[in-house]
Order: sequence, then structure tokens, then C-alpha cells
Amino acid sequence: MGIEAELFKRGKQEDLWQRCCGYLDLSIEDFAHIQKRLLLEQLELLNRCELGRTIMGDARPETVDEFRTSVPLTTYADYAPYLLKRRMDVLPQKPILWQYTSGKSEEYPYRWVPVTARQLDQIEGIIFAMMILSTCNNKGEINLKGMDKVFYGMAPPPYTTGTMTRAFPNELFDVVPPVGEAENISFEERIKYGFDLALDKGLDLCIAMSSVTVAIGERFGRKGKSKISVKALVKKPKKSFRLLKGIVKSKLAGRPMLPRDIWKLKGLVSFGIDGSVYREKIKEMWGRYPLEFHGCTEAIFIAMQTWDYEGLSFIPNLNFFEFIPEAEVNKSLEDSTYQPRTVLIDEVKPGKYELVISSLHGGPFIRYRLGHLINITATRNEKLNIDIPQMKFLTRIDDQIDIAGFTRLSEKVIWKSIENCGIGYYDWVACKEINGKPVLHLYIEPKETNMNVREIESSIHNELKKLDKPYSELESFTGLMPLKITLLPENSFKAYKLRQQAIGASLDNLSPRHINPSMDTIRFLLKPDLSLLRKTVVTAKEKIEA
Amino acid sequence: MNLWALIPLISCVIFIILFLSVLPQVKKRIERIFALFLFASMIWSFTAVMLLHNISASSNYLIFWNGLVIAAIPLVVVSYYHFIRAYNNKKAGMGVWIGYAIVSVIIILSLMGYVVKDAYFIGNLLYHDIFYWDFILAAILIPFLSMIIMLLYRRYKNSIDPTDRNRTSYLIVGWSLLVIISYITPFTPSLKTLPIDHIGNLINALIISYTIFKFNLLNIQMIFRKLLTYIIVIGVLFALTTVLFFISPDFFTNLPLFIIVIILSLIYIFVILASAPLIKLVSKGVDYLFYRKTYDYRQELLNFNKKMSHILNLDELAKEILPTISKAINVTGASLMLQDNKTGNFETQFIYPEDENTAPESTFKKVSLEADSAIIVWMDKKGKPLNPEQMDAIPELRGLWQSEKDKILSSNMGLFFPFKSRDKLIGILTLGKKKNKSILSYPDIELISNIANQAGIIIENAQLYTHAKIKANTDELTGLYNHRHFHERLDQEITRNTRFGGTFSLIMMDVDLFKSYNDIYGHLAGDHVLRKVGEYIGNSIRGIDLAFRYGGEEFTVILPGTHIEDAYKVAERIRKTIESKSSLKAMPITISLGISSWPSDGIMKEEIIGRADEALYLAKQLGRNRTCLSSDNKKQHDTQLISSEIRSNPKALSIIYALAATVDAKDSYTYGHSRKVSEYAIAIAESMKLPNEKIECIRSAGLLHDIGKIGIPDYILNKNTFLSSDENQLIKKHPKIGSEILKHVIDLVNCIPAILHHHERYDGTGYPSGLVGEKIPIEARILSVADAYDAMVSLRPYRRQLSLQEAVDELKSCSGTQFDPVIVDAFIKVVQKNNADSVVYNNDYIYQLKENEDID
Repeated sequence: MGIEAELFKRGKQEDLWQRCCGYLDLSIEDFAHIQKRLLLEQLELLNRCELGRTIMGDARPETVDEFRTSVPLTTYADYAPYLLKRRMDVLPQKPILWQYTSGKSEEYPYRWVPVTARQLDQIEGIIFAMMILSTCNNKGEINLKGMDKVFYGMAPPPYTTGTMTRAFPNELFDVVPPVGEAENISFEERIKYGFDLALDKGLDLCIAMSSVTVAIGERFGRKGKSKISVKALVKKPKKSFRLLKGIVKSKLAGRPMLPRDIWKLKGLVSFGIDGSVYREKIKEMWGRYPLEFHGCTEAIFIAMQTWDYEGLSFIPNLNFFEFIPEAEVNKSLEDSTYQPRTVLIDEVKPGKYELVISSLHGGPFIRYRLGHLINITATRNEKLNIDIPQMKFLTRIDDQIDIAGFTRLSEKVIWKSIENCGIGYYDWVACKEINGKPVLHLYIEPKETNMNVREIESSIHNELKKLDKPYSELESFTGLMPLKITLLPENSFKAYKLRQQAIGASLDNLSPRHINPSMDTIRFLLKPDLSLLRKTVVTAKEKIEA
Repeated sequence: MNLWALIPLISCVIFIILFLSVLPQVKKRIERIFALFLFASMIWSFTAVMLLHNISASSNYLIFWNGLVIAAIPLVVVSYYHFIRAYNNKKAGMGVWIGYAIVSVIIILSLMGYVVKDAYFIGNLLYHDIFYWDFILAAILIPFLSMIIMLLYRRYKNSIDPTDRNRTSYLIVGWSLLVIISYITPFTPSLKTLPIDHIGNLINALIISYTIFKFNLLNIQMIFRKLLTYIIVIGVLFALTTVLFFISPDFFTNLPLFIIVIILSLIYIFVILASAPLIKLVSKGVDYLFYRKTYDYRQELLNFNKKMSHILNLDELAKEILPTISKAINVTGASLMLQDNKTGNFETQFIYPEDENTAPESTFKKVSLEADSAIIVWMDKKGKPLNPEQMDAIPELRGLWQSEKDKILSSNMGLFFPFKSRDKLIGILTLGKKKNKSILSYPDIELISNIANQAGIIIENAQLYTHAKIKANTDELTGLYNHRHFHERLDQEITRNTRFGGTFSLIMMDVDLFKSYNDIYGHLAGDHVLRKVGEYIGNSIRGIDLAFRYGGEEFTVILPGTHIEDAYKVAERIRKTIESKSSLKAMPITISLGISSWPSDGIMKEEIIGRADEALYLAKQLGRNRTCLSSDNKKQHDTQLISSEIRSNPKALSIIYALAATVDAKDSYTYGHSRKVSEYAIAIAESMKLPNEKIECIRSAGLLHDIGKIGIPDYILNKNTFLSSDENQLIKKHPKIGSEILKHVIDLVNCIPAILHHHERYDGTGYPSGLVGEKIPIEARILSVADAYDAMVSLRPYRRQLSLQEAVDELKSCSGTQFDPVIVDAFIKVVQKNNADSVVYNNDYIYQLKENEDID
């Protein structure tokens, strides 16, 4: 049992708040100092291990400035030779467990990431903070009680959300379904079983992926219409009572039954890159806003909302943060050899940045580009007097597209699915778009003009399902068909190329990026300037004539 | 007066004292609620006193007070339940407010006379008739009573903190006794007429008091002590005046009014005058009662300011303060962490007790924390004490390293207390754990706080004094002790050895040819050499030895308790260290050393210094870079050469450097030219991997290549315009003049070919001999390139200074005609290799090198 669990058990609420949520009282100077000290500790570990020496080359930085100037920015490819083989001997500290996330299809199906015992200790504190903050209305308020009923709707180990179950104080709460049972059944069965139990026992806290939270809410609407077995109701009177209550409430409101008709939650935590997309929907279904946190497999926890459910405050003690300003991000996207400049947490100003993290507490990542574009909405939360920069996640800017936290589609998978469906095309680009729900939007320039968009959509969707299992699960579980196709006008890509030539772009940049091109590029492709093309034709004619 | 009233009276007095003690402290919610409970208990006892004290009181009077007694009971129960909820970090909850509502109803009913039907005394025993619903009241209280016990039991069960468990167990016992006794009393015929339930209340009051003091239930010890002091003083004075009046009541009645006024005034003056010493006396007694064994030490600490104000020595301060604090607070020990001058880290510098036989769990381990460590930054900012067990709960300490945490937790320290001066953290007092296993109380912390400010100033003064003292005794250039301190320490050593017997040795040393070094490289480079020599001496001696800069390039070392043979070993270590740090790139640095010993070489200071000086002089005479003993000097003819490494180099070099300095001094434009040519030439030779002897020859030749210019008139050398052909002819003679000068110096004969032919050209058109290609000695070919390069990149009055690239291009264009192509290539490689750090062609080469490569 960790210290937080002990404090919770002993009812030491002030101490528990201080330990878990006290970071919200830090001044930005204190925050930066914590980051600096923990990074220096990490540098000592890195300087002693093979991975550190490989990534940092000849550099043996001893200060934060040296670290930032002498160590290059990295991506997973830099770690893949070690982490894919799960080599523990090269790491700064021996891991206690390994977790993964979907990797680059075909190159490596999963990205394995080690987690050290010290990281897990920190995670336990953050999970408590998450639960406390999701249930409180004011600073210092702890509304959690021992054996509160908690629904945990996250993916099992070795996914990151499964790691959280390892750090979750299961013994202090009534987790539905119990973790031991849950890990042996499929995700869908688990959700179903968990809510069956919650109907019987009640529900105080829900921790689930945002897309799952919405999907469950939507099922309620459907379930409301199904027949109710009297026999089952008699067997489980508590469950019957709750259902009855829900039915009455929904009937009185004249709408399908929603989770909020059945349970009055103390707290709701949602996870997933699309959290903000579902925010209002979740509020409507569950009766309260979800507390969002931002994290990923490599960084685990990055930032978390507080009781105002607005911007996410960074967490100081799990990762060292650097931020690449948007202009620098664009430069580096244009020129892969360019080393963009970064700023530190006490230097950020409101604006867009790409997140760069270095693991602390013996974790492996060094100046690692997460590929997350975030918006620093404010340097502090004036309303709650929190002196920590506030962030919101915007999108992924690397060569992957995340859909509802279920899957990350790479360029290769998308390309292969287009190829496999056998349509004739010149070129394509893809990006994620949100219009009430997240979708993968594919812009294709077909060779034939009379193609049926729906048919292509369905065909590519089926291919994606074949190629990417999480993508198929997404549909089966949430009912989402997250694909949209737009056919581009003829010669879109040619016109783009000519435009690029005209502005003197290098050979590498004559064609747009397939994944996540800029909005400007998409706009151009949708309405290409064909006059450029005509000019070229005329010039060619002139040449022939001459 | 009914004696049975004494029980509630005592209980009431205790609750009044507790209530008044808590009242000034009520800041937190729990303190407010506890005060409410004490007030309720006090009311219960007070109403009981009012009920019982007068056996002849009227029936209505008895019914009224009896009603209030009964109404006070639920108030006590509900307020205690409220307190216990707060004690368990729970909000009041619905139950508490329902409870208070019931209490209000009962009070109203009792005031209206609906609680007690009748009340009367038989003898001094009270009997009453109550309404039946009073039994319902008793039943209503049962859930509250049970909840209290249940909450306390749960707290006890879940707690892993022994102090918390003890505290809770006392509260359980106190409350259980109160409940049991209160329920037994009305249902036991033999007891129901007696105020036995107040015995339960009294026991509970006593247990709560004990819990407060023993387990720090609330931080009211200090106020309680003061309150108790004043109550005793007021009680004594009141008793005295009352006795006075009772002794002679008639005396006052027969006196005129103004006399009574005067007497009363005198009495009050007496009371006022007597109260101050009485307060002091009682306060001392109360404090002694509370602190017992630690009392004297606490007094000592309170007088700390007076006692310590004159202390300027950190040792003395630590010796005074650490044992006293440890004993006063009754902890296992204490230590003082101070900032280290060199690293800036806070390190445990003084520890109490230092006894190694102490049990491991009580032994303090030394701790070192970086100045940037989260704990140091936090303490500096907040100025608050830190309990290591709270480290995890302080957000600012999230930056603490695991190794720092482990160090602190394994150090057996119970509290870190910051000492600040002028708002800056200057030291940390660390305390061990309480010997009686309890926790540090508020008065303990307050006691340390009292001395903290003064201690901070004293520590800072002592540090400044120590710093000033060190500075006064330190040579600024070398960081070694200075000449003045040398004499002081030598006197002390002689005095000590005279008194206690024993011996010590003295080493005197002098840097060889230092004047020449200064002349060639300048005084800045000379200072650098002295600094480095000082550093090497400091690093080569033992911990007990003391090194000094005697003056100029002379150094001394005092070696306490060391015979001359052992001193010789140390001396040789110093000599070899310095010699090994020299290289061929620049003028080598060596030292000569002389050793004397006390008392064999004399017992007076002057004798010892004189004998060591003579030995040093002998070492110089014997060719430098050696160690001589005072006994060598005594023997004169039978000189024992302790160092066998006799080389002729130093002797020859002294001549070279003196001559080179003379040549350079002739022409202000060529100042440093010989040195630079020598350096470039060495760089080429090293890159060509020539043998060491050749490199040494090239260095000497480089320094002396223009020695022949001694024979050239100054007006030609300093001419600002082009030279005439006659003047040119004269200039061309300088290689020959140089070789003529040097052929008389045996040590430099091997340099002659290089000097004589350094103006030969590879194609045979040079002077003086017109040698061609490989026939020109390689040393001369190297010098030729180095000389030309330096001339091109240096400023001359008759032409502009070439850029580095231009000079290199020029060398390339003359490769194969004027210069040997192999050497030009080698030189260009050297230039390119060192382009980044400008080693070769930068005019500040020597100084850069000095910073990077010691004295090489």
C-alpha cells in the first residue's frame, strides 16, 4: 500500500490533499525548480547507462542548458532497437513493468515502453489526485470515501491504461468489475459486466476513455427500449430499483434513459485525445463534466484539469517538459534535419507548441518528441489562482492519426487500404477532423471522375478494419464509422506541385505530406489554382513552336 | 457547604483551566469544536456544583438546577461526538445537527420545568423525581455514545502511527469510563443519589489533559502552563488577603474609613509587589513540574543569547548548543549543518553525541545537501522546520532526489530546523528523535525558535570571523597560508614541541629560474605558474602538513611530528609532481628544496629557517631541481646528493632564457617573437613525431634563433622603413654571430646548426651557406617555417599584418622554393587542426594554454 493509500485509509485528508494535489499551489518558479532538479537526477542515471550514452552521443550534460544544447531531439525510432526487444540492461533504471501502444504498422506493431517502480509510485499519487479532483468542488475538499464504487473502463495491461490499474488503490475502493476478473475477459464484456455490477451495487466514480463513456451512454438509450425481464428484476431488487428510477426519470423528461437517470456520480474521469470533443455529450449523459487528463504511453501523465474543468495544469514530477513553438515545428516539418528551438515551462506564453518530454525517475525518453500539438491557453489559472501554465490538446502532428484513443493509423496502413481496395487514384492526403465526433478524413484525387464516394468509403473502411484490429474494435464497440472520403478535383496535386515550384520549394516539398498536411494545403487541394497549370501548358506549347 | 459538591467542583475547575487554555488557540475547526466540548463539560459540572452545594436550598431552586444538569448531559455527549468526528477528519454531518437540535429542545424543556418533577435533599444526598420521557432521552443518546466509541475504535484500528494510536486509546478509555459510570449511577440504587457520574467526567477531563500533554492532542501546553501559573498566583494572593481579613475581622470594623482605605491600599501595593516574584517562583515550579529532568537545560537555552553573544568560533558554538538542545528537548542527539565554503553544499559539520558506541538507531549519519537541493531551497524560502516524515507531503519537495530522500531518512534525524540570518539560510540544526518515543511538541519547537534567530546571527558572525581569519592568513594568489601565518604557526609548533616533546620538519622551496620565466612569458604567466605550484604543493602534502607561500617564488611546508627522513619523502613527492607537470612545449618548471628539522637543526625559529634556507641554497648550487637536507650543508665536502636526477638542462636553460629575453627586449615589435617561434617550431616537431631530444633542441634554438641580433646595431633593428642593401648584409650576419656566441656554451652546442641555417632556403638561395633541400638541418628547416609564419602574422612597422589564411597561402606558395614542402604541410595540418581553439596561430597562445593545460 502506497503512502497516499495509507493517508486515505487513516483519514488524513489535509495530508492527502497536500501530497496529491499540493502541486497546484506551486509557484511557476517552484515548478521549474522541481523539473530542473529531477532532470539533473535523471541525467546522472542517463550518463551511466547504455541507452543514455547512445542517445546523447558524446554529450555528458550536467546542467539543463547543456542538456538542451547538446542533446538532440528524439523519436521512437531512436529507442526502437532497445525498447522493441525490451532490453532492461541498457536502461537508466530497471523497469518494474512494460507497457505498449500501437506502433508503426509493419515496422513495429507496438511501441514498448518500460515503467520503473519510482514512476509507478508517482503514478499512484497522480491517480489519487485525479480521483480527488474529479470529485471535489473546492480546494482542499476530499469527497472520496473508502469502498466507493468505481467503474474502470480502460484498456487492460499492457496498455498504459492497464498500468494505471496496477497503481490504482483497488483495495480501498469497490472496483467494478474487480480488476482480477476484468483482465481475463474481453474489453466489451468487461464494460458490460462492469455496468451490470454498477446497476446492482451503485456507482460513485467512473474512470473511462471518453469515447467509451459516450458509447455506454448511447447504449443506455438503446437498452431503455429493450424488454426487461421480471425474473431478473426480482432476483436483484437493488438493480431493479435503479432501473425503475431511471425509467421513471427518463419518461418524465420525455427522452431515452441516460446514465444520469440511474446514478448520481461523485466524479467522472475521461481519458483520450478526443476528450474535449465529447465533453458536452458526456455532461448531458452523465450529469457532470468529465475531468480530463492528458497523457500517453511514453509520458503517462502530462497534465490534468482541476475542479473548474477548464485548462489542464501540467504535472511537475513525472516528465521534464520542453515546448517547441509552432513556427519552429513548421520549420522542422519542412526540413527533417532542422533542430527546432525549445522553451521551458517557465518560458511558455499563450500559443501553440509541440510537446517534448524527457522521462524522470529512471524512465527511458530523452528530449522525446511526442508529436502532440497543444495550445497553452494561459500561463496561469486566474480563477483558481493556480500558477501553472494551462494547456489544451489540439492534435497529433506526427505521421499518425489517433481516432478516439482506440487506434493510431499510420501512413502505411492508410496507403495500403487505399491500394487494396483497387481504386485508381493520383495521390491522397489524410487528416483527422472533428465535427461532433472524430473522423479520419481522406482526400483522394481519383483517376476516374465518375466514382461513387460511398462505395470507396465503404471499401477503404473494410480494408482498414482488416489491416488494423483496434480500428475494427472501434466500430464494434462505439458504433463509430470514423472515415470520410472527399474526392479532389482533377489536377489538384499537379497544381499543388506547380505552386510549390513557383515558390521555390525544395524537391522534398513539391508534394504535400500524406498525413496531417496543413489546412492551407487542404484548402488549396480542394480549390486548386488551375491557372498555373494552363500557364505551364502554354509555355510548353511556346517552346515547341519556338 | 455539601462536600459532595467538591467532585463536580474539581471537575469544573479542571475544565475551566482546559477551556481557558484552548480558547486563545482556536484557529482550526477541531480546536473550536474541542473548546465547545470543554465548555459543555464545564457547564455540566458547574450546574452540578450549583445543584449540590446548598443542601438547604428551595425545591424550585433544586428543580431548576437539576433540570439544567440533565440538559447539560446531552450537550456534553453531542459536542464530544462532534469533536470526535472532527478528530477523524469528518464533517459535522446530519447526526450532529440533529443532536444539537435535541439538546436545544431539552434545554427549553428544562427551563420550563418539564425535565425534573421534584428535587430535595435528605441529609446531604440529593433525590429527584423525573419524567418518564427522560428515559427516552437516555435512549436517544445511546447512538451518539456508540458512534463515538466506534469512530475512536476505527481510528485506532486504522492508524499505523504509534503516537496516534496511543492518543486515541486514551480517548477511548476516558470516554468509556465516563459512559459506563454515567449509566451505572442512575440505575444503581446505592449510587443514584450521589454525583458519581461527575467522577467519570473528572476522569475524562484528567485523561484529556494527559493526552494533550503527552501526545500533543492540541498545542496548548504553553498556554496551559501560563494559565496554571496565574491561577496559582491569584489563588495564593486571594488566600492571603482572605486569611488577613478572617484573622482579625473586628480590627477593620473598629477603624475609621480612611484608615481602612490606607490599609487596603497598602495591602494591594503589597500584593502587586509580591505578585511579580511570586509569578516567577510559581512559573519556575510549574515549568519544573512539566519538564523535570530537562528543566535546567531549557533554562540554559533560554539564556542562550546572553551566553553565546561573545562566541565567534563555530566549534565552541556547536559544543555549547548541541548537547544543551539535545538534553533540553530530550532527543537522541543533534547536529549542525553548515555551508561548505568550497562546494556551497550544506554539510553536517558538528554532531552530538559523537560516541560510536551509541545504538545504531540513535546514531546520526552525516548528511550533505547541495545548495540547490529542494530541501535547502524550501527552507531558505519558507524558514520552517522540516520533519523528514513530512517530506512527501510538501509539494515543493517533489524535486527531491531519491538518493537525498534515502540519505535523510537513514540519517536518524527527526527534525531539520533552519537557522537564518538576514533572511538567508546559513545553517540547519538537526534534531534526533525524542527519547521517550513521543513527538516534538509545540513548546519544543518554540524553544528552538527562540534561539534560532540569535543562533543564526552568531553562526553568521562566526562564519564571517572564520572567513576573515582565513583570508588574513591566506596568500591570495596561491590560496596557501601566507608569510605572517607561517611565522605564527612555526612559533606555535616550536612552543608545542618544547612543552610536550617531539619533532617537526621544515621544507623551504624555490621555483627554479623563475625570473627568467617571468622575463620571457610575462608576469601574468608567472603568476599562473605560482598558482599552479601552490596547488601542486597543497595536493602533495599530507593532511597534517601546512603549506605556505613564503614570498615571491618561495614556499615552505611545516611537517608536524615528522622526522627529516620522512620530510624528505614528502619533499621529493612535491618536486616530482611539479616536474612531471612540466612539458616540452614551454619552459620547464622545476623547484629546489631544502629541509631542516627541529630540534636537531636548532631550537630557535631563526635557526630552523636558516638551516632549511642553506640546504635550499645548496640544492640550487648543485644544479637545481633537487632536494637537499640541512645535514648536507654541514658536511660541505661530503655532499650527499639525495636526488640523483642531475641534468645539465636547468643550467643551460637559465642562460638561454636570459639571452632570449635580452634579444626580445631590444626590439619592441619583436617582443615575444622568439617565444612564439619556439612554440610553433615545437608544434611542427611534435606533429612530425621527432624524438624528444630534437624537440628540446628545437625549443632552445627557437628561443635563441635571433641571438645573433645582439651584434646588430639597434637603429637597424628598430628601423621603420625598408633596409638598404648594406643594412641587409649586416642583418644577414646574425645567424653566424649567433652561432659564434653559442659555440662557447657547451650545453647549447647542439642548437648551433639550427640557428646558423634557419635562413637557408630549400632551393639553395638562402644564407649563410646556401644549403639545398635535405642538406639543411631539419631543425633549421622547421625554424625557417615557424620564423616566417610568425613574422607574417605579426605587426611590423614597415608592412601590414597578414591574416592567418594569407600567411598560410604564402607558406604554400613558397613551399618547395623557400620552405621544405613536408614541413609546410605538417605546419598547415597543425594550423588546421588547431583552427577551432586557435592554439598555434593565436598570439595569446601561452595564456590560453595556461588556462587549459596547467603549467605545460
